[in-house]
Amino acid sequence: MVDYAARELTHAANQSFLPNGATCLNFPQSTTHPRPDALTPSGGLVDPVSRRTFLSRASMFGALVSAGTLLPLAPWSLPRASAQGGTLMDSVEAFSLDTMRGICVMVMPGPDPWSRQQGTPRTDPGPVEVGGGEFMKDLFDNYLAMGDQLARPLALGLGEALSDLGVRAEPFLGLEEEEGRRIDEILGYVYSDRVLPLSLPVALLFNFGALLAAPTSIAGPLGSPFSRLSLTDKFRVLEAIEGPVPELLSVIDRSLPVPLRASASGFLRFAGGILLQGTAFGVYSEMNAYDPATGVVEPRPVSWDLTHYRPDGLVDGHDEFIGYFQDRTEVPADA
Amino acid sequence: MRDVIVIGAGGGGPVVAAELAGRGLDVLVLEGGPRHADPANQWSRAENDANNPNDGYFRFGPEDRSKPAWFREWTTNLFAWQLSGVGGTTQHYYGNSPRPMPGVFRGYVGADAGEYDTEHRFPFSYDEFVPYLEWVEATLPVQTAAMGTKEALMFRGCEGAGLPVQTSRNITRPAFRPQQNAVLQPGGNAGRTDRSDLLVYPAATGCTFCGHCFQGCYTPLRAPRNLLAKRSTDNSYVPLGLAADAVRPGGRPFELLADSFVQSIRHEQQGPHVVAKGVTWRNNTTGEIFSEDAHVVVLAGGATESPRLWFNSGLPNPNDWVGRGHTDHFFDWVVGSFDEYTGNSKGVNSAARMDYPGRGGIENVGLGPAIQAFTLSLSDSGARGFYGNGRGFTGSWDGPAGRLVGNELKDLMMGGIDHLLNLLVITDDHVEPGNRITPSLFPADENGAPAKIDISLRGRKRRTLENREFMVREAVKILRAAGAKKVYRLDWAPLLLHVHSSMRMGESERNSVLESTAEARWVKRLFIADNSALANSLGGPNPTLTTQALATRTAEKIFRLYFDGDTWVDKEAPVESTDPRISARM
Repeated sequence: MVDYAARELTHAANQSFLPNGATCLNFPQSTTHPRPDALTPSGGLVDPVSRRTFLSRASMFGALVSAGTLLPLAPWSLPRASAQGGTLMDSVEAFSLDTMRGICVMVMPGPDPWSRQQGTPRTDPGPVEVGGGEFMKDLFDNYLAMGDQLARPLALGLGEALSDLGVRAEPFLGLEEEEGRRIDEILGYVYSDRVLPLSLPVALLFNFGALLAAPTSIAGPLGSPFSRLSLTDKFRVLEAIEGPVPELLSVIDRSLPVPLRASASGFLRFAGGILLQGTAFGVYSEMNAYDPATGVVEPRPVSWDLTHYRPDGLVDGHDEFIGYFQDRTEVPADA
Repeated sequence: MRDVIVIGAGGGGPVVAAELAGRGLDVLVLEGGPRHADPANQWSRAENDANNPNDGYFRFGPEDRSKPAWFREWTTNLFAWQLSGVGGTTQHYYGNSPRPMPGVFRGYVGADAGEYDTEHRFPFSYDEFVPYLEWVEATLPVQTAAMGTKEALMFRGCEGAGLPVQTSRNITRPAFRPQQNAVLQPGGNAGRTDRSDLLVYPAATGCTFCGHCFQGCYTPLRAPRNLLAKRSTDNSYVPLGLAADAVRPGGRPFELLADSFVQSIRHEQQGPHVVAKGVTWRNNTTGEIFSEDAHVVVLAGGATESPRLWFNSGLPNPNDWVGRGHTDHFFDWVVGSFDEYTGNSKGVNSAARMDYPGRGGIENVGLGPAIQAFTLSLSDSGARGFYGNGRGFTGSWDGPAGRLVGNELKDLMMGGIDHLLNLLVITDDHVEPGNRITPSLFPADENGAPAKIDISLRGRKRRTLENREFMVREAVKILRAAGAKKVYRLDWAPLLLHVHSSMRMGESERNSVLESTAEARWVKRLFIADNSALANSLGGPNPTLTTQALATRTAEKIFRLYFDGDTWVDKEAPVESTDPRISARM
């Protein structure tokens, strides 16, 4: 089973990962091979790909790109054990978390390796050391109850898009039933049946974009291709997601069953936008420093020090009342 | 069998409910979200604790914060910041209560009559509406905002930019003024200290200038619920309705059920008419399903959820305008950085405004660091210095429009949260049929198909686009006159805070859902009383006051049409929601 995946990965690597020369986001070859019809490969309006299959594929993709960290000289040599049980799950989780850290430092660079890698090292405090990545991963894993109906088109879209670009998608599509069941049991244990952890598809989307923006990001430091990009290249990925002609999403979108085309791509555009805004909200808030049991914020959040906010902590009022403009305290109803 | 069932306890529902309870009707109010009956112990002043869209106490979700928020589909880079719960989105609003522009009503003949959305006016006159505005202004009550540092800076900027002062509640000309806010004025120690031991009622009354309006208002500490400073409906109309028997002869308290999500409006065909019969709801915690009949049903779920419930109930939509015409004030955001202290994070979050008839309005907005960073990161113009999404305009502001990121964002934030001054541009956006709410194709939740919010990023009418650019230029001018050393224009992507007119009333049955009474054109005994009932975007002013005045008018229409009663706004005096007889019940 795993041999199959490893063989395909090796095959893909030997072929050069992006054989069509897709070295930038304006990849014309990706738009010159539109699907001939609006239907799914199975000919139906709703493809039978299940949530389990999607998660399986996603897991393998995450394992693949994180393997670039673990084994930078041989990203194709996925360890057999990594496709089984908790090890693979850990790998996927680490992949998502690394991507989230790479996003956090886009709005609050700090003294961390992710900031250095994007080319904005600083000495003042940043979000990674205080759990910004974990916070954002949690936010997206629990924010939206994304069910099977979106998982299927996302799975199809990502897989087809990779194929169209010449990336061998079979390893992500080819997990056998027993393997998938085992992974699904793990995921099902961690997450409810109704909620797909959004950090994973978001991480997939961003890393898919990273591979297009900079194919060499498949290997290198840190744990995901997106985190290996310069800040400029990171924003090229964002531009491809939210631009007036969203190239990245159009690649994914055109593989979808017609009723869900605009919905799935629209959702991803929303995700692309909210990711930066939501991250900015999170890392400049009190995040993990708040104890809901006591209502106390402790320790003092990094962002409060950075912005000189509430030097004495949260208080019930301020000495800020300076009077009324022109001493007018009311306006008559009939004036 | 109830006399009236009101769906939703947000900005509009409790108004109808309290007014009809005051007339002695048997009223049930159903709210899908939680009721925060003890906010001093249920809320905090922490931004993430309050407004995390996943599990903050202000979110669109059920009472149990460990359960996922409810899903809504949105089709692009936008964010709908609406709340469930008793008080609805008024729980985190700023209390801004300007009157609507007279020019958006039928029969307006001012010199600027042609400057408004004349195709989508209110189906009655402004003069007819003023008594209802006055009634709500007295009930909440609405008062002239007190001044802090950021307001003093704004007024300095307005004077420097050559704007005159407006001294009328009615908007008559381009001018600035302190906000008319539904916030009680500071008394005693309020606004004069940061010592919590001195900010306890009754030693402190009204607004304490804590600066946390967006996290909900529970000051002064230990004040009765109806004397908390900010007049969100959970502090005003809900206490008024729960004490209806104490303040009105023959009044009868309404019953309020929270955490109860209405799944459908039941109806039947009676001769040529579809008639509302009652509602079915689900208790979010137990999963139990309940049904009850009513003589009249009032839908007040909000501009997103009201059309959703309409669709999920299978109600008729013959002209296809259910959910259409959604307006959102097409906000923009202009920020100035200052060398001097601005008081950005302190005081009432918005207490100064500028109005431009036929264009829209501008107001100052004070924020804490999390929401400040959020607002600086929202744009349809990409990221400053990296990409512009085909926009990234340049103009009278500094550099290209777009979200701040990386070192630029961090450096600006490190300049100090209280060295920033924010201006919210509130566009008079004209009604667009294509901006709409429809049922999503994503999986249904327990309450049926979720809502799909389809709002164009850029496809607005020419006049709407012109209005927004006009206001941005004015905002920049005011900030520079106030002394800003640098001015940023964000070119916001849609941030849906002011949402209205998705179930609009109108002059023509071709492009509206409601009669001028707010009764549905095609469903008898069904009325709508939230922002969705508004005919248009009001010319720019914040919508809550207008919605509440319209809901008061709707309560009278219901009472006359179906309960053989008489009007009261023209005959009686309003009861102020701070009345001590209400306090005694809290």
